[in-house]
Amino acid sequence: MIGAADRYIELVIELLLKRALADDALPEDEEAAYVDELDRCWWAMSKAEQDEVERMIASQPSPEAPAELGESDTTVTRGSKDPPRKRESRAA
Amino acid sequence: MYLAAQHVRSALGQEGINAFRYTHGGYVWQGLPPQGIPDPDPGVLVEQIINVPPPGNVVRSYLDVVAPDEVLWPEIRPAFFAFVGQAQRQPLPWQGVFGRCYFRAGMDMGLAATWRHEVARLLRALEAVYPARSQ
Repeated sequence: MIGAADRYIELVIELLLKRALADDALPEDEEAAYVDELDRCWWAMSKAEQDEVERMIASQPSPEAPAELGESDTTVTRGSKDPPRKRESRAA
Repeated sequence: MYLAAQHVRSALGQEGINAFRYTHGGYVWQGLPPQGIPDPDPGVLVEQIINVPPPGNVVRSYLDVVAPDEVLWPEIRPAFFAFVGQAQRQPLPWQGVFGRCYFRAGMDMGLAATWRHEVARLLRALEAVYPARSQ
């Protein structure tokens, strides 16, 4: 069974993503549902868990990513079995 | 079924998201897709939405979903949230299996700074190419 701290972090992640999907205009009732559930999880945590969760959420960095993916797109036509992109071949 | 959305940049600097839907016919599976799907076998292309015409555009980000053809959007969406929730603390590219859906996502450093909005845009593009988007 998932603990309150893990659930709290999951909910925050989901809420932030849903806000992004809604262009930062999530309906109030959806926001309220998250607030209620977050509140319930928050008070189910110990003080140490609350501190740890706060620290984790406050220090969320952007994920590491490469400078370039090294892929380019391809032309595909209906009925074909060609992939939509391919790895770029690098000239020596 | 293989759904792919990719943010591309043309040689002239035009940027946009292209999306594709491939099908695999009668294949049904749980968890990981059968070996060879989607690489090298993406399936048969049945739908595409093109904003920046290929070929040769640089791919800046992508979001891929592989699932049996019968899987409906209401099954994909919560699995996607679970995928991102688990993956987001890992370096890109991400991949994972949730339920019957296999996901993978990648983006370049410039887009990673606003990764939530980028994956949201890619997910919307996938939804647009999905056959029963209102279900």
